[in-house]
Amino acid sequence: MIPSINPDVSGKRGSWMVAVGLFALGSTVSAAVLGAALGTVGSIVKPILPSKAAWTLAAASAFGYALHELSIFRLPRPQRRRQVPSGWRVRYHPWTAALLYGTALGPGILHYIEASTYYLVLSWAFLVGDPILSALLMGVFGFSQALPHLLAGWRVDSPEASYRTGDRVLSYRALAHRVNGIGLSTAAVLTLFGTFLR
Amino acid sequence: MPQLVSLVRQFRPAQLVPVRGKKHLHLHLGRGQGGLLGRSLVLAGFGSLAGAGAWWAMVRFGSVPPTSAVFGVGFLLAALAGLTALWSP
Repeated sequence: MIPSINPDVSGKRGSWMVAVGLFALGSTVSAAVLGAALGTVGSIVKPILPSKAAWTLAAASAFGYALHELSIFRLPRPQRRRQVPSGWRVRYHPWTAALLYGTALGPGILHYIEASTYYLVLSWAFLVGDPILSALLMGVFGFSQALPHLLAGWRVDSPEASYRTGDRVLSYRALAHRVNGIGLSTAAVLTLFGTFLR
Repeated sequence: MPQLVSLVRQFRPAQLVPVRGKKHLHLHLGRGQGGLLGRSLVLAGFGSLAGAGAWWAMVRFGSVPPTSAVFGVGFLLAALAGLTALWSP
């Protein structure tokens, strides 16, 4: 995705910064809306949900997906195998396209899901059962999606340079999965301790 | 599961191996798939230890209630998931 999106935000530094900002805005708001919806549903079922069992299941899932990210075994990864429309890049002004891409990619459920950590974030947003906190949680997810564009595109001054940078970023794909594996196993233990050692 | 069994069979215990020209010992975790399994388990173990350590530090030195700690984990996961969400072609 990074090499696909960055050409839209290449060009003059000021214009590029505005585009990244609009991408972050769209991504954060749309993810927060999904978070609020999950939190609302979670708050409705919270009274009848066995809290400890639910958090234990979340911790077990986190550890399972940690092993998945570390390539020890495969777990199902339900997802909508679609990409965002590439035509937006030519049809709309770069700023409009960046906002649209951010809005479409923000919630994470409308396209390919790269890291399994996303499923745990969704379950967290649901289990917390508070619309505001869940919106904050998913908002962090949405905003974080803009940061790689900021880092990867900082020195990009042409579409060609953008694709080169994108290729370089993708060379760290395996590392990204390992980091997710470590993060998930850390989260699994912290969640278990937090659930039972209160 | 058969794949996991196969990986376990190929896995050799970690050993410290001296390498010519190097002053330090290298942690050798086997070859091929076994090495992959070994490395992955080490990473998962490292993550789990980090989680346990973070928990201990929060309980020992922090004044963070456990429920907040669990929620804090959610925020860290959200940031991690977001940072790596678009790491695809």
